[in-house]
Amino acid sequence: MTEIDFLPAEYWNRRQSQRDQWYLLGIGVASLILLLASAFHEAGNASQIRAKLAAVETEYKEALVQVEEVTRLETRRAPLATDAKIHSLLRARPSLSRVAAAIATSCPPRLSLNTVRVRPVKLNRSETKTAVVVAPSPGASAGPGSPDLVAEQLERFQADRDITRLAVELTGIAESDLDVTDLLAGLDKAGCFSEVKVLSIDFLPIGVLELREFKVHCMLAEVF
Amino acid sequence: MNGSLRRNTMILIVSLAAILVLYLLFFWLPQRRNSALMLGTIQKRRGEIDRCRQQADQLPMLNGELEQLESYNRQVAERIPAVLDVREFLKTMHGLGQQHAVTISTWSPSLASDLVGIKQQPVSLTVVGKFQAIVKMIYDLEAMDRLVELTDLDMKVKDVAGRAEDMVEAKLSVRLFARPPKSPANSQNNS
Repeated sequence: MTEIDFLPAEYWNRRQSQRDQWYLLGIGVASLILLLASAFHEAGNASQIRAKLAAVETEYKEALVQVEEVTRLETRRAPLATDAKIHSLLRARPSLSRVAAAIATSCPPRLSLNTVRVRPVKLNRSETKTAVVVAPSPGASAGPGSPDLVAEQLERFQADRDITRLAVELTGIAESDLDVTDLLAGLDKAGCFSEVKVLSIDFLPIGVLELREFKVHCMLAEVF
Repeated sequence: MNGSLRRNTMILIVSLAAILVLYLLFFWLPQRRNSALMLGTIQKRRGEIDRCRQQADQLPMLNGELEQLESYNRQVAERIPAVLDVREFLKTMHGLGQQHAVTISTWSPSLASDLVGIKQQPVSLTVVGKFQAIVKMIYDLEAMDRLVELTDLDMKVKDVAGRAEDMVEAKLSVRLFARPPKSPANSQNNS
């Protein structure tokens, strides 16, 4: 069976042309849709990043507030720490009653003390554990009460404390050298004295007795 | 017909190309640049936040330290009066002397001086009594509410006629402290 096309060729050409036009239009619309989709995607991305940035900025501001608080507390700590240091230095002194009690308990029975002298002595810098150097502060010309001046005075005070020790000098009479060595051993054992040494022992004849007149020197231990 | 189609195709391609170029130049590229800038800022801020957090981590420790310092300072400051008040000190000493049967024979205050914002005044005392009583008195002196520092102690046996017991004469150097109240200007600076 043969199909006979009775339509004119112009009709077919026009239809073809119309299809091409629709095809072009479709391409154009599809391209525009793609473009718009891309634009929306970009805009969405940008708004997400902007929101993230805003959140990070808020977080940053909160962190800055905390840092300011740290700075404020550090500023507040400085004078308190200075006061605490002064107080510690004022309190860091050995108890003389304990020293006297330790001396009394270290004495053997056949020995009597005539004098007990406890006095502060300044050690040489080389004898101290830490070298104390008080450098002149750059703000030495600052007025009284200025932080620099207070810090410098505090350094000097601490340096003075560091090089000051209490020296103990005992004089007395013993029946024998053994009693004097017992005293030395007792002072050594007491735990609060160091550098215990005899400065002198002299014979002291009283009647038939030959007593010993002695002088003992020691230093009070640093931590007591 | 072919000519018209070609023309329409050309118009479409040219328009699409123009739109694409305009889109790229005036939207896509600026948007990308802006996004990159924002991402860079976010990264920078994150680094700064980390640094801030490291500093902020000290906050609890710092608060604790401040509390400790304040409590310690308050505790010691309570033991340092605002004025030297040698008279009050001597009254206390006489009271302690009576309590322990120790006599205060002499006393002499020296000049007051300044020590890192704290006033100090040495006072020399001579006391007479039994060794144990003097040691107890020194102990009470060290333990009293007021902060004092005993710098020198010189004890020697004292011959007292008619007394069988050994009496001891002790020379004591005591340093008194006082913290004058801070002026409003200073306290404002410190707060």
